[in-house]
Amino acid sequence: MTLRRCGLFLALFCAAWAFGVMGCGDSPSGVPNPYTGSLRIAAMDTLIFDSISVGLDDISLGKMGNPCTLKDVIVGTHRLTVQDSSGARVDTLVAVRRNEMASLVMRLTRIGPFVGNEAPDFSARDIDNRNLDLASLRGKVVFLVFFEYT
Amino acid sequence: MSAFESKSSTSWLKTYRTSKGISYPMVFDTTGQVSSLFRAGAVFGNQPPTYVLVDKKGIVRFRSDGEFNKVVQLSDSITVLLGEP
Repeated sequence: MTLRRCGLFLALFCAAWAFGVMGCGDSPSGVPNPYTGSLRIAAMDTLIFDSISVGLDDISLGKMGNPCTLKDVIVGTHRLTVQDSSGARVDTLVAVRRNEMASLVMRLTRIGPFVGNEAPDFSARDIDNRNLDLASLRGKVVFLVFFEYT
Repeated sequence: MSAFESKSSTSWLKTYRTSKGISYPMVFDTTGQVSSLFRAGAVFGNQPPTYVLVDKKGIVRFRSDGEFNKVVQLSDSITVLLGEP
């Protein structure tokens, strides 16, 4: 009798352990959080296809495979950063919806307006009608301020 | 240093420049061409003002979209970049 009960407990323990271990990758609690969704990310135009560095809202999630899936992402808008080891990077806003998987194909280009990118060149006329282009300022530290008022 | 501004008149900007004693070039970005290249402003979900710091090689090294708590980091970054070859 005692032995049989022991066996039952052992079986239950094993089942709980197995569930816990296997459930780990899917969701930490084993119960799907109703306020999360997931993100599937694939990087294109990258020289290093097998791994990408992923960041969400300025928090680095480390190196991941390409493509990869982020699970249990809180519902809402997030800033997603994807970078390959050559430094090519893209930074974008993504919307995560409840129980839905958002699929993103990111083009990792070297030229862009975010940290790590080569700044896009532009040519503009200033308010005194003088030409202002970024390429001519190479060799200098350039500070750009974009503002608007009403 | 350069400033890009949209949605208003050049004359206002000139008055503003004189009153603040600004010596750097200012661009009145009527078409939004430069602002969109740099994804600056509320149109792109970014909080103005947008600060972009470009190093001597033309690489973006610092960016802030209305995050005023990054100002200390900005001044540190400028010092670092000026010291680079």
